Amino acid sequence: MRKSIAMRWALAIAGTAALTGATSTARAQSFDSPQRVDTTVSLERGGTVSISVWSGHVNVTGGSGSNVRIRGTVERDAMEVRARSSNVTISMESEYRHGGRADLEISVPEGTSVVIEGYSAPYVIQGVKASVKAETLSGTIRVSDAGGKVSVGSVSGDIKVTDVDGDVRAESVSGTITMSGIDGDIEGESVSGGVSINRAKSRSVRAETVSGEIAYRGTFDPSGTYTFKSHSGRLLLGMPADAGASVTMQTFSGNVDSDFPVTLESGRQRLGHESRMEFKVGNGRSRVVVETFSGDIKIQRSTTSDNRE
Amino acid sequence: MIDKHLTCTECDELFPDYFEGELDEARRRMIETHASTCARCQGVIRDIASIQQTAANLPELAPSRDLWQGIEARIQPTVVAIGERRDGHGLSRRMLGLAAAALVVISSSLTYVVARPPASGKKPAPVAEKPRSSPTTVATNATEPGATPTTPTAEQVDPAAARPSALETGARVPSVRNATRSARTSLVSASQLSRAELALAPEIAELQRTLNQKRAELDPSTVKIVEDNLALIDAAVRQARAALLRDPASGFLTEQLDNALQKKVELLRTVALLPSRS
Repeated sequence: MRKSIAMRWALAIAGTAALTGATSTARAQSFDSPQRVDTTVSLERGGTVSISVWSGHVNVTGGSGSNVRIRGTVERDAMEVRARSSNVTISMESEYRHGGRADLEISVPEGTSVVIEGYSAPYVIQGVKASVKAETLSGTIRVSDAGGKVSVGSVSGDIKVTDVDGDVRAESVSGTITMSGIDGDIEGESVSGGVSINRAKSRSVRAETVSGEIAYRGTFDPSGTYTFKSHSGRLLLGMPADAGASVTMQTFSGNVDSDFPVTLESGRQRLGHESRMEFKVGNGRSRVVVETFSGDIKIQRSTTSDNRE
Repeated sequence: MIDKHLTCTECDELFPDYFEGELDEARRRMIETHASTCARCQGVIRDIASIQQTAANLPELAPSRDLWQGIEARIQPTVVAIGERRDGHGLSRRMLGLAAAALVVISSSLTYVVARPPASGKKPAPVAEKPRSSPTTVATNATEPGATPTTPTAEQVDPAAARPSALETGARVPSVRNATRSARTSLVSASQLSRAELALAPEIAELQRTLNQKRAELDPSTVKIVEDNLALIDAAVRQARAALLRDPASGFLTEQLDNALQKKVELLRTVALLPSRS
């Protein structure tokens, strides 16, 4: 079963606790007043950088070399940098229960995995070409040019994930989720926030909301499964005319608007209020499921290039 | 093998089995030997042990899919009702007959609710009709062809069913006595709660209590976001339930209701684990 935001928060807390228990090789910097930071530590290829910053902002950028460089400003609180050959932990020791404010620019070697958590700090993680795990309460999360597995979650912060060569899972309560250029499996889930997926090259896509709108533009792999569900959110799919897909749509009280001819399932379409419709494009090998209680469904005919750009 | 000195990375790989108590004695000793000279692994062991200890002390939650409580609540009250006698006011044959009839109806409803197949197993095979011309717009809630499509509110579908249930307000599932009263006043109400509602009710109630306790620790804006979104989910639950009352055999509507309830549990679990503001 998929992990919920709750589970991932629990793992983050456990992970942080475990890391906090480490290490005699740590180096620490502490500041009583706002102060600039510039620290460089080495990290072996494929290592991990873990960051816990409560507020402020954090930019993580992948690049050449084998060092992790941390620059920026730390206000009031103390920053700890614990460095080992395979992992670096950057955390804030605050007078408050959790880490405090910091504005940090962190450069890491390409291929470094990033684990980051916080409260309101916005995060930008770009060019690391490795896995990313980010959790925040109200801060925004931007991830681009990552690889491996990307897992991001927020309560109210918006999430944007771009150009990932790997699987992506994004989850929010009220934040908007935007994913584009994903070459891997996609999962997007929200309550009231929208989920927008563009330029996807995925064999498995699942997007669910309660009231948020879901939009998908991407390829439909012959062996792929694509599932879009909402309670009242609008569902919008761009489907190339040359795609090969069997599409099943079901709604209780929403409207269905399709650029493709649909077939109403005999004997079901007026049982109660519920309607179930189907249509097939091309060889019909991809399986597409679109379900909503009261949201509208719109299937637009698009060109292949529309869905790839 | 026994003499091998483990690295931290090797320890990391063995830790899951170590903490689950599934390692053989030799490997277990190797980890402990390594940890005795490694502050990092010592810290990991100490922290995970502490987390295990904390987790062990958490209150026990009923399994999400345990149907027994709901079944029990509906079997017992009827038996109690029949057995109840007031001094000098014994039940007449006619009343006993009515009670027995009510028991049959309630039991049938319950059996149907619990035993009906899942949504995926009962959808009829598609039968093609004449395809519509392209592009197609279907107003799915119209009663006559060409009628203006409307989206009914839950209240329009069924005003009684659209009212918040005990589940949504965080109250416990109806007690035996309440269930008895409910069964007496309305036979329909016996089947109003779906299997998912019965199964998830204890967990939702527990998590709702946690939210109430935690409210003061959370940022007010976070509380507002959570409550707004819970309200959205509760509305979805009410609407799906009301629709299901109109079409109890619908696998689609059952799934809609189950999904909404599952969303509620996930959101409440998230809140339970949110960090406090200070």
